[in-house]
Amino acid sequence: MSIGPMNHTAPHGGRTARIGLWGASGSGKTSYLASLFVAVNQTQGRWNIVGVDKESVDFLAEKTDTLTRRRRFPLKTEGIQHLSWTVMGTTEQTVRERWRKRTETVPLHIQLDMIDAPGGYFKGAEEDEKAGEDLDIDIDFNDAEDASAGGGNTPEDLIDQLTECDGIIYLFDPLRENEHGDEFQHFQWALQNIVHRAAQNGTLDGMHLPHHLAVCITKLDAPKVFHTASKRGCLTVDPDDPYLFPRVRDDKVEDLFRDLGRLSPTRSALMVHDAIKASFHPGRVRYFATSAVGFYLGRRATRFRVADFQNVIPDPDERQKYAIRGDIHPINVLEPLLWLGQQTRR
Amino acid sequence: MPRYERDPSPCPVCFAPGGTGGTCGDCGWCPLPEGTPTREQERRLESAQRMFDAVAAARISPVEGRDLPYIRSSRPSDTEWATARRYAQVDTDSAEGFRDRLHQVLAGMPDQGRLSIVEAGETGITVTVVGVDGFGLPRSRRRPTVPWRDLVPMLAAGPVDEPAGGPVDELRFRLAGGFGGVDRIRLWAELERNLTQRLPLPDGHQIMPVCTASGWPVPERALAMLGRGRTQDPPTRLAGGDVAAVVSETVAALPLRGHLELVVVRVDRRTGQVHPDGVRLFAAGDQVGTERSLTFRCVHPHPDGTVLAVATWRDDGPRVLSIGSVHLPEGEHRLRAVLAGAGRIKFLDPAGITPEHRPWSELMATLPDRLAPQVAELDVVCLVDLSGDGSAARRRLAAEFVKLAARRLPEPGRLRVAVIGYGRHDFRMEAEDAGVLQGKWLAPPAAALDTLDRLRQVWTDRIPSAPVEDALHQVAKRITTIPPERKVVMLTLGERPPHPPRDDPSGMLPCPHGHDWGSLLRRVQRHPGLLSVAVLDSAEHLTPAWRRIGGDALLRLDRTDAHKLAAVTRIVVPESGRLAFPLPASEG
Ligand SMILES: Nc1nc2c(ncn2[C@@H]2O[C@H](COP(=O)(O)OP(=O)(O)OP(=O)(O)O)[C@@H](O)[C@H]2O)c(=O)[nH]1
Ligand SMILES: [Mg+2]
Repeated sequence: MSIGPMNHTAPHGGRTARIGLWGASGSGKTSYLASLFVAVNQTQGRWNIVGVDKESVDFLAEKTDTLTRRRRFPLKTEGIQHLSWTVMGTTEQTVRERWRKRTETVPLHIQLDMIDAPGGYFKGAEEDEKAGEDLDIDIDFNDAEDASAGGGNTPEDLIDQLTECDGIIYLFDPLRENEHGDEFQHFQWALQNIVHRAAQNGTLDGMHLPHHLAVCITKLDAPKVFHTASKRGCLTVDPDDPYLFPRVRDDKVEDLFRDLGRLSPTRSALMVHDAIKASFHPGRVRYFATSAVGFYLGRRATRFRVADFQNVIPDPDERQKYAIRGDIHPINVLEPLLWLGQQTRR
Repeated sequence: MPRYERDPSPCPVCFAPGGTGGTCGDCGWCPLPEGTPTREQERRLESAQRMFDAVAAARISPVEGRDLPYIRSSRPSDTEWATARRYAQVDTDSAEGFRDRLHQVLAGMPDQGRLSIVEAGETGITVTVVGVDGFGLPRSRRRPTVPWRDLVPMLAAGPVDEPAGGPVDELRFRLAGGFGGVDRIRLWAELERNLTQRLPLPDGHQIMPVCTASGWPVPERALAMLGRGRTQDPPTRLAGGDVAAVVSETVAALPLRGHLELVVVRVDRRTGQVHPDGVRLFAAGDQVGTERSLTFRCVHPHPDGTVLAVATWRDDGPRVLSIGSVHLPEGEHRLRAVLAGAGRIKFLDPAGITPEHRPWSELMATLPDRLAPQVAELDVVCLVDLSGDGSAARRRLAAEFVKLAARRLPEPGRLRVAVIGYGRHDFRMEAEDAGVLQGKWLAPPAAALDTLDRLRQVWTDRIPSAPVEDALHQVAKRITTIPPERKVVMLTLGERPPHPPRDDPSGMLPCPHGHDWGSLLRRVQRHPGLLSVAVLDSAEHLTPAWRRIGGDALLRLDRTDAHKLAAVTRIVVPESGRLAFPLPASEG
């Protein structure tokens, strides 16, 4: 994707993009962040990432190790976690001189303050529910002892923090939706609360929230998602990609979102799509098809093989869990962040 | 009508009707000339009557007859009795002569012909019908005797002056010619009427009259009436003798009119289809007492024994004459039988034949459509899933099956067994090339059992497929080295289906080695006569792949034992494939 021109003012003097992660439990929020380091490295030196504090440095190191060496997924997130990174790179910028236009390479730094919370918080539940459990859970708003440095640590606090973000990455897990069909419930509680809070704060932009929203379909590597994208003719290949991994065409991602939504028994993702349209400024929403782990590449394979692409397998040692088969090849992990970073610095 | 008006003057001696006072045409009584003194007249009449009655009495018995109370006037004198006995004498035919005549008539009788032997005797008339049935076999049926009492009731109910002798003796006396006081016209009319009523002889029957009460006027008259218009032959006169016995002996001794065959099954060499047929045991013209033998084969003998059935064949199928069954081992046996007569056969060999009582249709229903070919050489290829709860039971069943096959084919080299245990694909990239197979290609059964025993159980994962395709790959690679004439049974004992060769809509992880179970199976199945059998733990993973791998039989582990496997693989012929009938010796 293209990153538009940015002025190259002092990297630390500019405004920081505060970005929140939003998504049901198990939708892949933590995995998404965990794959960020590999995603950055994939750019062959065009981008780099550094942690701003120890917690953020440790997170990257630890989670990258989990995904790449241990080939496991991160554990469920407990409590709200704040992470702060700087993504550094360069961008092409057109400089207008008196006689001619010319392009020059300029440094680009994006400050990311990330919020990762347990998925259950997004529907107001402090304890993440187990699959299939009833959704009416009493919320004890007095119980805030887990509060961390970035503020409180309850669903209410999460709403406050998301409201104050510049950008939101909303992760939509088609597998979970396919199985539970409860995406809208997750989405709805948080959205209404955020709108309510924004209204209170007076930050509503007319009828819309002020946020930029990156809607990320996760787990593109899973067969159900991949087969759907393939059947709908959404796939394309970037010829510059040495492994020729398939990608979802930019103009087809939103359609794919709806197509995947239609697969679920409740079609609740269609309501999510409508709610996004209602609550966010159309120019501030973008859809991405992502995968934290990407497609499998055989040991001797030199490029993607559609015959054998699954990179996630049942964990041989632990029931209920999944393991990663080979190297990870994150898809569209960095891109939503760069887009948000760029958009929110304007 | 009063008797005297119709018949004014019957003969006073024999009561024959109608003389006009002259000499009696029947008994020769000549009335004495006018003027003969009455005493003298009475004496002469009594003497003539005594003499007439004495002849009838002598016909009944040459000794006791003399004392019968029905003889009019008095007991005959010695001379009179001697004369009466002489008169009573009749020339009779010999029993042998009768037998020969009967034999001649029966032998010359056309198919479907009927002969009625009409036997008139002291008690009544008996008809024995001898026929040749639709199968060309003679058979005789003796009808119940019609007693004289029913044919000539007036003789039986006649006046009984002296009850000492009893009515039966009197009836006999009258039948034998004691006609004193009997209205002959009425007698013959009654006899004629009753004969047509009680002894109707169907058209088309030949008649052979036989008189065993020779010379007795009533039986002789009855035979003459019955034979009228039907036969020119005079009755055969027999002095007593058991006509029934002679008839059945003669019928039994008739030579065969058609061939008799042993029921066998023939097997179509090409299709293996089984159909019943016969091999000749006795030929037409064979005489009673002829002994013949033939060799037959028992193949897959039925547990209820081999049925030895002798039949004549007609358009509508076999007509079984003699049937017995006997327990015989596989192989050739000799049948020896003797023609006992009337289509009856006595088996002499093999020993131990017992009568067979099951209906023919039931016996025929035991025949399988096809005969399972004899297994000469067998290779068993066992593919065993080594993971999951069922793995021990799978190996146990495989071992039992191998042991059973080894008992069937004990000679070295006839049975070989390959054991290929398959575990789990390890999909982790670093394990991409890891082997998943254990075991050994074709080896003698003992070595294979040892291999089975040494297979190591493999961990279980949650991947709903198993590397059946890797095992098939090994089989496909090596099966071409098996000579085509060896029977091959591929026995797959597993649970989860093979991995697909490449990603497909099922989302199942494809085989990391890219093996395509479908095309590998086709390659394996190119071996002629290969049987592919699958035994699954449960029906939970019953996919199209399993249906194809278990193309010849798909069984459930908990419901399968070695015997069942042996039956479905036709190593041991299943009950339904066993033969209740022998095969002809010549067929291969
Ligand atoms: N196929 C596939 N599965 C993924 C991917 N990312 C995550 N998953 C699966 O989703 C599960 C949950 O991922 P997490 O990253 O823990 O999800 P989360 O949204 O952080 O969950 P909570 O912390 O419980 O809210 C993982 O254990 C994986 O099984 C992906 O890129 N591809
Ligand atoms: Mg998490």
